Amino acid sequence: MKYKHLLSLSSALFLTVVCFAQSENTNKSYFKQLYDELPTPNSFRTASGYPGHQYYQQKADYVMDIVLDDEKQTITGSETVTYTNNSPDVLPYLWVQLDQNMRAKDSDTRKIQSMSIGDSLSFEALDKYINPFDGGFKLEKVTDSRGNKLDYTINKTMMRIDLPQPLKPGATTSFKIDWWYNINDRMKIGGRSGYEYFEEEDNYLYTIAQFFPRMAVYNDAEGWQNKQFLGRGEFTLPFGDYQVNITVPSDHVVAATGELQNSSEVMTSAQRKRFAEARNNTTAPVLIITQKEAEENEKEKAKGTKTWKFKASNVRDFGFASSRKFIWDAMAVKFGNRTVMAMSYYPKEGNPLWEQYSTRAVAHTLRSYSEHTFDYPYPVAISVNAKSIGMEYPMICFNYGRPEEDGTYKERIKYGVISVIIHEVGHNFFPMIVNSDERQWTWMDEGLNTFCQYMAEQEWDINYPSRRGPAYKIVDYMKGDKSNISPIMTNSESIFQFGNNAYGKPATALNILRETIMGRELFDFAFKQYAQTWMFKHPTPADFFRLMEDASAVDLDWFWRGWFFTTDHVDIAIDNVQWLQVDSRNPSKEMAFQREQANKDEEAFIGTIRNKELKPKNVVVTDTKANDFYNSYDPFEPTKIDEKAYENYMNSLDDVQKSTLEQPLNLYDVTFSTPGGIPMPIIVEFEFTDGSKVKEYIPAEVWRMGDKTIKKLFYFEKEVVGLNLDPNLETADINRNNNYWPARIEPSRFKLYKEKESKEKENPMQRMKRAEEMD
Amino acid sequence: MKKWGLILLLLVSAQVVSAHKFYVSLTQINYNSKTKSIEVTLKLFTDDLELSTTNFSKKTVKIINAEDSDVEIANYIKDKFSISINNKVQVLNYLGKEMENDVSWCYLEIKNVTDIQSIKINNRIFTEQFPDQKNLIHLNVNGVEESAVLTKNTTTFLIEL
Repeated sequence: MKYKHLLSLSSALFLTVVCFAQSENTNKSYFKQLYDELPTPNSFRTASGYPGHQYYQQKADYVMDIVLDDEKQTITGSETVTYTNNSPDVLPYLWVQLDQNMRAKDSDTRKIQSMSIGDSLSFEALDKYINPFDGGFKLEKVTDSRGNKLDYTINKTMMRIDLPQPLKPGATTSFKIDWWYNINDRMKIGGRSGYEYFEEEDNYLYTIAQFFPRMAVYNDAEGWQNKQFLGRGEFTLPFGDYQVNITVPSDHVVAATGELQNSSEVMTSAQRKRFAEARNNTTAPVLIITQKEAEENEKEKAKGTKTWKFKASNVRDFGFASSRKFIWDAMAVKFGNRTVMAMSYYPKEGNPLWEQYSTRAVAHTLRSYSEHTFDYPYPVAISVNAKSIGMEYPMICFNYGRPEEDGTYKERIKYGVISVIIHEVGHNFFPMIVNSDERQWTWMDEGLNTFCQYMAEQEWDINYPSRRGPAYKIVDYMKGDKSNISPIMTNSESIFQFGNNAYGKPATALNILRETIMGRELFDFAFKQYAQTWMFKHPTPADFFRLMEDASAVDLDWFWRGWFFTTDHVDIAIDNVQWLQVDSRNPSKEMAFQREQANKDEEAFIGTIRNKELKPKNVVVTDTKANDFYNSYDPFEPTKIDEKAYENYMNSLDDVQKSTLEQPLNLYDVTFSTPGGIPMPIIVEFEFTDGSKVKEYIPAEVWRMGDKTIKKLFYFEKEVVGLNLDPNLETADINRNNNYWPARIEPSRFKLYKEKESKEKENPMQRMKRAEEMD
Repeated sequence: MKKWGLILLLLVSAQVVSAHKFYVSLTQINYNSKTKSIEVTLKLFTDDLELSTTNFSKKTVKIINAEDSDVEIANYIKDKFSISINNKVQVLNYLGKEMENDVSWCYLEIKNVTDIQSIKINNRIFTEQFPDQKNLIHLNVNGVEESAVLTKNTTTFLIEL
């Protein structure tokens, strides 16, 4: 399971056997322990998946003054970063992330994008290509805390600040950066952050993030994590405390990471009264700004500005949204005596969906995730409506979903809104608090979060149309062309089929662990232990893999190997079933059976059947002199000798043995194979002649010797009529046609559709109407 | 409508989380020897299908469970997807669609297929909208199972049986 078990006798023996079984002299078994794949445990990270006794993490505190210019769509900032070196290492320089530079004219993101004209190119696309957006940070100055210039070097999205004096272990340093940049039009250029323009009333809705130079992470696992930001691999950030003052037009409303410090300066007394009401309401959202008030506010533009002041402790990032279009509602979620505010900010275009669902979904997410991990530790959780994206930051996220102009909406928009809010609010837990390295591993936050999202959706409504989670939903992906699939353990920038790889498959794998391999009790304890252990810390994949095993006593190396390190799939088949009964040695019973078996083939043969008419003319019939002893001898007729032998045998048995022999017993010798590769438990359901069923579970270790086929013996009193492998679709078996005995072909989706088609020529609404007419 | 295509095209590079942002379709093609027909099941993202059929038919197509958008979908698929058997282009019969979460399942059929020596699939679905579109094909004919990934640049897949 982990290093400490390396020299256990059983695994040593096992390794030897597998080596001999392979044609090449290397161990290719799924059950080979993960020593080559995982880093060596040390005093920073233990073999049990916990922080070691020398675990450390850096701290970065920010004090920032931000000005949002609504006329020119620019943002200007002056920030002071205080960086504490908790590592045992001396740091000659610091790395700061300049994520906005991904939008610079000469960015690598643009350069590595493959592009050809193809069939046609729109004027807009051509214009964009010839006149690219002038994005990226414009740095005004970089100084130490006393205002002395600091040397720095910019490499695309990373900036190295060369310290005059190396930063010693335990020491703290401060520096200042003044900057500004042009905000991108999200609807034209795209992006996680930017603005949406509302032409009708000439208004902007800003959702602003990765907007300031941010410290990179320095730790024992990666050194400086300064891999360039290309657009896909998201963010890796240290924790710290933030004080941010945001100056916006005076009629704007600002939502941000953290708690508002100056409500009396920026909110009306009516708004503050409503906010106090919301703090006491745990059942339904209370409107702080109504739709009517928001519509009134967005009509005209006020002159002058206001400064909103926020404070946030122990967060890894800071995001905010600002607009004069915002409707604002809030409700309270209680954790013991602590009150957390679940809040939503949305333009009128989000209604009626958002007033009904957004804040409710935020509150539900906090409760559900807290149940599975740890109590949500921050004071607020905010959902902001932003067209066509879903993106997460600490305490605040930007989510898509708007109804049609007439106020109606499709079912999938409704569930899209609830799902995206659960997902993005859920990101507070992974990776905002359980702070994994997103630049390196997308699955560590997206996969774990999608898994929790599935549980939260099912807790919202057991009929919830969840897209990801159930094992059978990953089958189409896993059976696909392997050249277009990457292992989950692939760097974020190099993943094929991003959604299936980093969201769907790891979420499914965790579901399979929970439902099938470990069981809910062992899994839930271990998962919670992982979340609580790495809360406000920086875990790596190895920490997750090791801790899940350490807290459960389930060796999962084979599972991590198959599901996370390969692109193999699951396919288990029933090859053969043999039915056996116990030899009772009772001559009257057994010899008749033997006769039946001996003559079976001969009697079935076509010649035997047709030759029956020859019997009256047979020589042995017409001429009795042609007969001797053997013509009338029946070897299967019990004799006195046989009966005596049976009597002696029975007398030699004790009562227990006798009753065993006498009870009805049907034995089934079943051969299973794995054409698919990844070993999984064998879950087989037996159906009996009386219609009853029994499910047998054989752990995946049945495949530990690397066999392609294995045999298992099952016994029942009743007679079996059929076997069904994985009847509850829990292993992601990609081919169910080989899962039955007697063999049965699963109807394809096409066939099911055609069968339905021939039955139903009307849609559900028409059918309901016809039913009503029948009353 | 050109503008819309552009917006989505650029979102590919911008990366948006959670909302589907990868461009993939899945086509399962089976030969049913009992009914002597080729059964085609296409799994398409509904929002991509709406956008493509809207641009193709030059009228706004909203896909809901009713049969109203079937004509536009059938026209679009027949323009972008074809199957040749023994070097002869076959007539595809559009049967209908089903919705599930954010995907649409579309069903097509080729009747009276007896002797299959070769089968060629041409799939250009959504490639006119999304340069990164990947169209996955799973094929099962007389026990021969094959998979392929088709793209804007590689639109055909040929199997000799």
